[in-house]
Amino acid sequence: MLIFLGKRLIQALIALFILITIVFFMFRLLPADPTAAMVDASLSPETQMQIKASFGLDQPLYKQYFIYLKNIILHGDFGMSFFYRESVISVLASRILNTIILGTTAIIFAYSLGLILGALMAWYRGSLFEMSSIIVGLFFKAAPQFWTGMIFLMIFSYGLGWFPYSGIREAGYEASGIMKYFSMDFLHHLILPATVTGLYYLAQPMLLMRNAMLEITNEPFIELAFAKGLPERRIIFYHAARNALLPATTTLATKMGQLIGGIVLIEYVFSWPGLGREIVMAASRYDYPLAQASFLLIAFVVMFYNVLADLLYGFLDPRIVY
Amino acid sequence: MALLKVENLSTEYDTLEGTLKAVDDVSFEVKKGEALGVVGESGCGKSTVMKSILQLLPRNGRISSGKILYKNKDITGYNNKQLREIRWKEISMISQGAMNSFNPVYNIGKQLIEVMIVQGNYSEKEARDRAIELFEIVGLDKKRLNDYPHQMSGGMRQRSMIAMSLALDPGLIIADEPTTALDVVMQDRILGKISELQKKMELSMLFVTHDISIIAEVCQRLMVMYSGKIAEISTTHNIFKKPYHPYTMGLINAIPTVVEDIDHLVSIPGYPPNLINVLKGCRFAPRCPFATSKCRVESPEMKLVNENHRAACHYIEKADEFREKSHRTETWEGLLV
Repeated sequence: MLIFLGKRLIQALIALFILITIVFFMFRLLPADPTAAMVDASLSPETQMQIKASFGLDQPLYKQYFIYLKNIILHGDFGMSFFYRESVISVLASRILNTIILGTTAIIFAYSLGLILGALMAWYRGSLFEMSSIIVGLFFKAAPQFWTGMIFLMIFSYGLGWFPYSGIREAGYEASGIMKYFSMDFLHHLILPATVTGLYYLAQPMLLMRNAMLEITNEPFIELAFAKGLPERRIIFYHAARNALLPATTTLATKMGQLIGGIVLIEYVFSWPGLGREIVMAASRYDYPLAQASFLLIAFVVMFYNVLADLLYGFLDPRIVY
Repeated sequence: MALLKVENLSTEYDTLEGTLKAVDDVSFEVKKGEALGVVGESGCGKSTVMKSILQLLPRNGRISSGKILYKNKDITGYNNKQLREIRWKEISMISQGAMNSFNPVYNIGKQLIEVMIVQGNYSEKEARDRAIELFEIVGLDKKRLNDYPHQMSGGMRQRSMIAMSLALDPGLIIADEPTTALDVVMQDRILGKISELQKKMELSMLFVTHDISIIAEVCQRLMVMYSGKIAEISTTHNIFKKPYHPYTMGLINAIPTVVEDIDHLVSIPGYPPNLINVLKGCRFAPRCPFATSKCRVESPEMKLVNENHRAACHYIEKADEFREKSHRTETWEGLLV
């Protein structure tokens, strides 16, 4: 188990290193000159050179790469944002948590609802319930997230007034540190974007679960569970659904990556101050240090969930041993 | 007194091609403390009989007529709640433990204890003690309770299965091909165990199998099924000694033996008939070497051979002659199929 975890972590580190390299050179290959964004062209050439030198941009590319790598490894320093003129870490730190909270809530919502619905759909195959669940699931999968977001805002915020329109907390609400995420106010703001995102990701775990369940219900141990006289609910969830969890879990990690990358639209519609919005802005501002670090962060989150999913397999299925 | 009495049971399945009558007008009984073997080819309805009793029929199946009396109460009309009172507490089951009969994600002990707690109102501690006791009975080390199904051999799983079937001291145990998918040595041990327990604990059993030689070892009485109907039913001794139905004769002659000097085994040519469009007459007639024109038109009634021996053949009075001929391979090979 520990050996497996160690191996997985080493793999993740290697993948991260390769990624850092690719991302670094990818941005340098873009036609635009990154320095143009941050050095005012009206300054004298000497001053321009001075500013470039202060960021290390006068160095040859391979040297820049090694400096970049060295700073990350030794100091955990991802450089200075060209736009904000503050360290990339501090810019992202305030954003990434917002995104992770929104994304994780959405994925938990999608998977818990999806798995339960999927299990019941297979059990009550051919029922009206099954048909309507498929339609609802596929509808939200097919509808663009921003559109669903706008419709939900129209109905639940403007129409019914149940939820706030945007942002992450009421103006004037004061809280510091981690505590700002543990308030009714934050929760109130979170529900609508998390629901919209969750609905988009609902269909896959739901349908995967349904298919896995359909196979499981033909297994002899389900028949035996009936013969044992167990209550039906226990058979559905404790025996059948528990066995059908694996395929859907496999998708959890990849979905999480997709979600963090794709959440930008939701963040935009709901004015959610998250990472996705920051990436778009950073790219359009040629703010390379920030964009690079954002990509790395996303990659890191994906890898984290991959390792998590791997560990989950062993927990879900005793036949899988590391 | 009959513990289980099945009266004129018919069970049907709805299929795309039409209604399939898997069990047709079957009557038999299981007495207290006796093991009744049910034998027949795949598709003869033996499993359906078993599933009808436990009411584990798939969604497209239903009992279309007849009664199943358990302790003199008809259980065919029972709803889920009433069935749960019967299941495992009164009628338990030994399924093919070597196959996927245990849930792969829970350890064996947990699955054993589960039924005792949920169905038998045992406390966690009592259930665990009982599980250890049951494992001793079937000859397994109690450490094995913590094993997951995949960590056990087929034979061990089958023993665990037997242990589980005994958990709540049921009145009747239905064994569904308990030795299929085991190697012969393990088959023999498991059968020995079942037979030993059956005699020692005076278990009432319904033993379903396609292997008639197995029945001889375990069961006191035997029922041969063919194509959804009972061909012959009597004590195991009677049937092996003096079968009256040509199908039974064929089955018995197909058992290899090391004692007698027989050059070759007899096999019954052909296949069981389609149960959707059932032909008139005796269902075995197309494969029967002794069939006459009467057999092809008129379906035989169950006839009493003697006090506890019934057979469904028009010519039970000619059985001695049939028996003689049935030993010869030519009798069966001369058939046009």
